[in-house]
Amino acid sequence: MSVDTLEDLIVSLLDPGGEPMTNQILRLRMGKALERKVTDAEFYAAREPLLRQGVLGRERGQGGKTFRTPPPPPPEPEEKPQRGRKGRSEQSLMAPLGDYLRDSFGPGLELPRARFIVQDTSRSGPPRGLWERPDYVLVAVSGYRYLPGTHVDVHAFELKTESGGDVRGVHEALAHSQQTDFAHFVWFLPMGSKHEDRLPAVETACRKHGIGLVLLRDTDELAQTEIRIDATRRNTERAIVDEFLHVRLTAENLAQITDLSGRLAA
Amino acid sequence: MRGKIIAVANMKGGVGKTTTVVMLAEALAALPADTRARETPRLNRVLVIDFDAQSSASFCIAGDAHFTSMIQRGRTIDAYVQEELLGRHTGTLIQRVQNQVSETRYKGDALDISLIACGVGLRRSERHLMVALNSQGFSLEDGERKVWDAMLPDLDSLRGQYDYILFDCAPGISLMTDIGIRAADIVVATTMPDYLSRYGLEMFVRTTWLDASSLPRPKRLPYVLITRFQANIRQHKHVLEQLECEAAQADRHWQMFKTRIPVSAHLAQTLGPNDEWPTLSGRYRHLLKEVIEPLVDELKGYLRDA
Repeated sequence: MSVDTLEDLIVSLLDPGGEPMTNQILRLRMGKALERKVTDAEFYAAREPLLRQGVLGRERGQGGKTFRTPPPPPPEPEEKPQRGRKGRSEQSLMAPLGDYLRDSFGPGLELPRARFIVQDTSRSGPPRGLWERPDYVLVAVSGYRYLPGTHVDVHAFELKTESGGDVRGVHEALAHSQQTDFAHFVWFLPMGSKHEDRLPAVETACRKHGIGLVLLRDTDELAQTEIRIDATRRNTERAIVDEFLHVRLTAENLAQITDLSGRLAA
Repeated sequence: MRGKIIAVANMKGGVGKTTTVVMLAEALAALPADTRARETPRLNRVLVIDFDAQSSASFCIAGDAHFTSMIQRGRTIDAYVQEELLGRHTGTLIQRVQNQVSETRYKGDALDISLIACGVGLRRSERHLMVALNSQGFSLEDGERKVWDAMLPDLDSLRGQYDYILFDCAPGISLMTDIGIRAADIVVATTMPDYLSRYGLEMFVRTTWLDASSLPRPKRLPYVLITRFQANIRQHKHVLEQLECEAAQADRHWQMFKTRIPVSAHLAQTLGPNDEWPTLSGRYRHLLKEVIEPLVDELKGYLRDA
């Protein structure tokens, strides 16, 4: 491995897509590459300037993690009035995604006697906090004919544009999963996109974190949308999910959930 | 420091040589070294030299990507034979060592295991070497002796750097394996307790310990380590009793380890693709306390007696 400094070595060992690595494993990998032990002091001394320069980022947990800051996505082109195949802004993708969630995704869950409420939450709820707002929330209210009670599942969706989709989007979805039952990363990735090379890293991250992966291929042909990875159910406390709905959904939608729950339970 | 050399060998294949080498290397590397009074306490430094062209030990210890890079950089025993012993003097054994190669963690650090890998070219390199020596007028026996004389100083310099040096010998008897067995302080002959393996063990001892050779006789009789043992199989119990009975005779041809390696699906999996950077206890689970630690205690005892 051709690296001049410990700083170069750290950067070369981290995933360019931004997948974090625990500090311990990163230090051990450095030792393997250099054929000698790397001390904690050496590791932190080499990492600190890179953090200050913004080349690296860090996360808490498991003794701390370090990740490479992915290059900023290129500026998104101006929104065009027609639904083109590429260069779509996130805002222009919201309506097709809403259609897809209502017409295909919800019914595709195949829940008994289910009703769905889909809401754009990209601008609702408290603004504070990083990665606090999913772009869409889908609430599935279902129940059996004879068995008592209703069941409410809450799905969160994080939408990214063609150029903006990367592992960080998965981490955003992961943050949403703290307050919902399922979290999904939706990536507008037209067939043959030059950004397809990021897909393996995104898939790996989704599998690792139990995040669903939906590829929006063509906004004019929503039937081409692919559910690449199913989301894993979270054991989120019901009180947290309930509070999430309370602060994110409109009064009309909350009333509709209450109404559906009552009707299905009757 | 004068490191101890342990050769794990048997003419028969599939008797757990590589598993034993990897297990012993990792367990020894997790033990405190016998340091001098003024030396900083540290764990053992262990070197594995792979003499088997199947490269299993190299692959298990270094991992796929690192092993490939070692081949590219000539950090292999076949490159040593092909280049150094054939007279081009491109690098002694110590220059072929890849240090800090293990991905097994112990107390937050990687185990201090180094490796000289083996590529698929070893058998060919050994043949080239013997043909070259023959063309220089050396007989087979003189040629073997010449290789022995060339390798011994290299092995001695490695003893100065590592507490333990383990040889993963090839099945059959190759030149490198033959030299490894004769240079070792102890030979661990892994064998399964079945009739064919028992017969193979006798042949192995006869050809290497009893038959005349131009090379020095091994330092002591081999220690037989029973692998893939299944106590509920009658043949295993019967062959084990035979082996133990013969080891108790005055004119014995081997000695026996008391520890036995049981058949274990987990152990087989351990050498396959694993999680990245496993811990030592996570890698071996219950086998660490029940099998590996008693085996290492026994081995260290036999080495002290040497």
